[in-house]
Amino acid sequence: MRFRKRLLNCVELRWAKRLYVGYAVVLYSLYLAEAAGLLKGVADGVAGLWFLPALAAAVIARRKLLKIMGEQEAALALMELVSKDPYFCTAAELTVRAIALFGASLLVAMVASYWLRNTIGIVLSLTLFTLLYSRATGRELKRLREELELVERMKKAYEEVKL
Amino acid sequence: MKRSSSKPDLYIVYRLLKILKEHGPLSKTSLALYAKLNYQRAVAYLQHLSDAGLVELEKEVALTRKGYETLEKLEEVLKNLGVTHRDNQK
Repeated sequence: MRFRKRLLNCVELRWAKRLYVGYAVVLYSLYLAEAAGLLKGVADGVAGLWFLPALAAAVIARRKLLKIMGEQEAALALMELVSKDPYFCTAAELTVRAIALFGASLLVAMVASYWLRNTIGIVLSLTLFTLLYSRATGRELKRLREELELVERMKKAYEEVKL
Repeated sequence: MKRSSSKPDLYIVYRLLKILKEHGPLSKTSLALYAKLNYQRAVAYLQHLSDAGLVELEKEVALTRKGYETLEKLEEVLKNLGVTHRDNQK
């Protein structure tokens, strides 16, 4: 078990959630300001920077992990995170995978639409997504069960050692 | 641990206890250096550990019996999770 990698993913997802919530609030406020006629074209510019929160989350998580020395400390840090919000990381990871699958199927459908009629594009992307998602879910179920067992063990372990 | 009221990070507590077990009683400065912590932060942690009865803060910092027991408990929990000392060297 590579706790350092798990911890990195978990910290990254937690920061991504925080930053995207902030980003969504800013974006919504900008759209409201534009609707009220106070600004013009800013919201679209900010919307184009959709990847920035993810990038910032990746940098923050890596910087935080620099302070942690070795697998043992990573396991303890992860234990603390899991005790605060037990299933956040597992759920967030699954969500990210689903979004990535959706993006991939959409991309394939877009590429295919050069050769096919546009109306088939949506049907094709949905079919591809369903197919990929069902296959990925089947494969991930075993890993998910192990993950949930580990979360339970970590929660229990943290209760034993918390100060 | 940024504020005195906030909860200490378990991994830093583990690091401090482990250093004290390996090196024996140490001055606060040496302990902060070994733990790669800023001095102020190390002192805040040591105060917390002292309040919890895990270390004795005198001229030097030393582990108490409770501190040894806590460290053993932490190591046992890590062992049960499948993390060993060898994993740290990878």
